[in-house]
Amino acid sequence: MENLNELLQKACKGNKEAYGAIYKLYYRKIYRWCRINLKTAEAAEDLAQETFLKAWHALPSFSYGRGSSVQAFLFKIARNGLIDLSRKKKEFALDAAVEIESGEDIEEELDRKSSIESVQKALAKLPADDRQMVVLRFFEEMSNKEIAQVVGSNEGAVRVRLHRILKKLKELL
Amino acid sequence: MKQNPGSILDKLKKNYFDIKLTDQEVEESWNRLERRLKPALPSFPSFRYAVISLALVIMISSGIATLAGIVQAADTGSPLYPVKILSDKVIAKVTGRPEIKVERRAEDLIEAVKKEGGSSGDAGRRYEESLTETEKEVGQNEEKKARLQDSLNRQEESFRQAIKENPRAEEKLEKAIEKTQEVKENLNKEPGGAFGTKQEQKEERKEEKKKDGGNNKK
Repeated sequence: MENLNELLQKACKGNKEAYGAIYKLYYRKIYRWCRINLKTAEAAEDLAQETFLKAWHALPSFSYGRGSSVQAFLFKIARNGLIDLSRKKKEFALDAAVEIESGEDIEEELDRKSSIESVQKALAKLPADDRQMVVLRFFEEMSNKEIAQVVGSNEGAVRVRLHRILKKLKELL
Repeated sequence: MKQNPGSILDKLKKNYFDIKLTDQEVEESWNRLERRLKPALPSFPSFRYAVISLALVIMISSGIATLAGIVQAADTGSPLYPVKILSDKVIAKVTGRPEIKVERRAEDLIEAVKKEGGSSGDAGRRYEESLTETEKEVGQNEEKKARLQDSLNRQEESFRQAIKENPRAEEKLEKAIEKTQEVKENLNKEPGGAFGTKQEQKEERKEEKKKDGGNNKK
């Protein structure tokens, strides 16, 4: 199988087959992230597709080989798409949808509820930005540098913010 | 009840990865996307550089054009007037048409007398200088001489027209006409001999004096 850089070079030149290979490598990650941030599977699928469509157009501007990460590039597009979606259609926003009942045992809740619902509920008390960073850092195991690329910040600021989020999470959970 | 955040995060992570798509679902979604992908776009960095370069070229060109416009509109008394003269010299040199300088100085002279009602300020002197300079540059090149001759005819006509429009400037413009005619005559004369230019005649006289001086010493 060709390596990622070769695929990117070909995709930049308009090779759909190479882009298809990149799509298959990252689609699940992007879809999962969209799914956890949106209410319905359809909305998540639409956003994931839009992400890859926009990425196709923006791909020639992606500076591969200069410390840029493809997944950070894709997550950044997805995040911007999510922000646009939340502005345009409030009904898609997750914030109002899920709330943890006070005194509820979250571990029990996690066992009882469906996977998506349980993650959504557990993270619901965090602001949207923090929630997204938790998913990227602790679930997708992205580096601080990659997260900085996604959220348009610097590595140090991301490290500090994640530390605060973790502290907040401990209090909340 | 005290809960362990670490174990909750682990559980959450496990639940997060329970969100799964089958290979078939991924394949189907790719097929849907592939139909929406338009042909490849030009490479963005090079496209961007091309746009930036084009914008710079346009900005610099328009800047130069604006500056050239301002310089060309400069009056004889303006601080930019020497730049105008210099730019005319460059244009004359580049295009190989020295008569341009004479034409421009003649225009300046007419403009100056129009504005100042008879007084031409520095413009008269500048015109005469341009005539002398151009006459030298043209030298014995027949083509250039013919062009300068045509140009001088036009200048003379313009000056006469300007006198009609502004009789107070007659003295100044007549002087310019006189100098113009003088150069025209010089252009018609044969090089060297009895029909040479005044300058050439002066040089001839100097040479003769030298020769005479030499003979007397002997």
